[in-house]
Amino acid sequence: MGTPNESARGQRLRTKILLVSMLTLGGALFASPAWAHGEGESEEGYLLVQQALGHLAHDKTSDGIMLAMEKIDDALDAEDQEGVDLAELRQAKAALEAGQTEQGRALLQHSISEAVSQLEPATGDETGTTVVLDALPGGGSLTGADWGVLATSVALVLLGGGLAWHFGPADSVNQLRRRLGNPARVQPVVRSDTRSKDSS
Amino acid sequence: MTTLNSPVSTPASRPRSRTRRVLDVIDDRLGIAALEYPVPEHANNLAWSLGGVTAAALGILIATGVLLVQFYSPVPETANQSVRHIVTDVWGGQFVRGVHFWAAQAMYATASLHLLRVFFTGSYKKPREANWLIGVAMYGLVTLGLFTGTVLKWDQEGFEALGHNVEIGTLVGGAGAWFSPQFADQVPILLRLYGAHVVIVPGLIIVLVVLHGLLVKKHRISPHPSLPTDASGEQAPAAEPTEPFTHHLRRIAAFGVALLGLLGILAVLAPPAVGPPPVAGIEITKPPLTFWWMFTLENWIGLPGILYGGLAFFALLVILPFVDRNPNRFWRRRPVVMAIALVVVLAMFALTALMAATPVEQHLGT
Repeated sequence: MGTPNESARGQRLRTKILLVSMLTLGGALFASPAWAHGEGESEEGYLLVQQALGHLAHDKTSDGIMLAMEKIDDALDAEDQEGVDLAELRQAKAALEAGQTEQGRALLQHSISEAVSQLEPATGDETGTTVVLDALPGGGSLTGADWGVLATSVALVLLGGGLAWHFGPADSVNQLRRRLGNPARVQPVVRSDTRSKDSS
Repeated sequence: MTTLNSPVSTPASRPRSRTRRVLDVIDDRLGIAALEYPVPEHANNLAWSLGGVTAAALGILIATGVLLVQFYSPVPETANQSVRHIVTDVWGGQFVRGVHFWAAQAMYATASLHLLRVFFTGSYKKPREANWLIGVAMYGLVTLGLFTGTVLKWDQEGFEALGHNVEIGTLVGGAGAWFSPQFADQVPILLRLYGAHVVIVPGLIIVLVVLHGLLVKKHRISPHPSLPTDASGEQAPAAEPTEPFTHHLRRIAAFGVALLGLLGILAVLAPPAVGPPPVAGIEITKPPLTFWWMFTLENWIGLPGILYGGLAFFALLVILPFVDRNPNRFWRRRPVVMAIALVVVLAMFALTALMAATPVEQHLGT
């Protein structure tokens, strides 16, 4: 047990830490939510077309096509249609309805060529995206070089594992416990004021 | 056998080889022998070497990162394309990127395991509280490094991650100003996050690693909870055999070689994909696995869920050594903190599992 002064100091320190923690958490909890960019649904036609392309790039199932069609409809109804070729947009919609997804995507991309060509260099959190490409998958068939790297990597695992085993401690924790004794079977640690101060 | 009370030294009478003499000349100038301080033998097992393995992962990340920055373009218009160029056109680019990606996952995993080991063995207790806080800070920086790395590939997943961060930055008001696009409105936020990823985050981690190592030396390796301690209860007993710290480093280097091999295998067999370039205003991807537990909270209570979840987790880690005054290190004699930790870990696993079964929901811009 500590002296009364030490106990009081410890108590004050703990109180301060708890107060700071509560204030930090409280500040976060009661901070007024500022939702998003405050803009909701985009009114920019070209961006709605890009969103349609985004859905198609990520999900080629009927769900993705349905979401893309919604965005195309929004683009056709948007107030700001600057730089969007509406005729091509309608062709793209027709192609998607006919199940010609790739042709639809190409037409969608082409329909906003003028809009994206006028974009200023991106600042802030603007995407700077002009063309929505497909994902580039990571996997594929292994080349000769891949097999070589794979073999080298396996060799490194074996080498590292072997060295780690070789450099391992002479005694396991169980062996040390047998030699030094098991504190779990002796009395628990109790704080003492008489503790040596030079031990660390 | 060497013990804590006996210095590690070489008998002066032993004839010195030419290599030894060269090393001695170098050591006279660089003082490398200072690293040969004794550490208790239990420190050389794998669980107590996880911090070193984390440092090895950091080394691999820095080496591969230096290669990747030669070809990466941190500009929104070309960032995604430059990653594709690295993967498809640069010789060995896909492999280097794969090793970098998997090394980041490995660093997060080994840092988490190291943190759990320190927790379960009570190594954060007096006099090592400050080093625990440094470790928690490094853990936060590792998370930040993962986040910024996710954004840098500038695909839909990365852009949505950024979107969440920008909005959380807005939620916390002035404290999140740096994450606001308006902080430097003529500069793409991608460029600032690139600076954070390649300079600020690794730079801070390296500074903290040095401090961490110095404090480990000052306070010595904590005693094993299932072995006796010295009279203070804060150090391994004098009777426990020791080895020079350089032997500890040697074994960590061996683990590092094995880790590099493992990362190479993963880079070849499971190279990371590059998603489509980002589009604003849609939310259609899931975040990286390490962030899933927070995003389940987001699905329940909206964007603030990520903030509250993250803050609560790190607040628990920070206050731990100050509220846990139980001097025992053995887990069975610490039922309260063990029960709390079990609840937290199970909750995080449950939230992660829930995310796996949850469709993507739109939170940005709603």
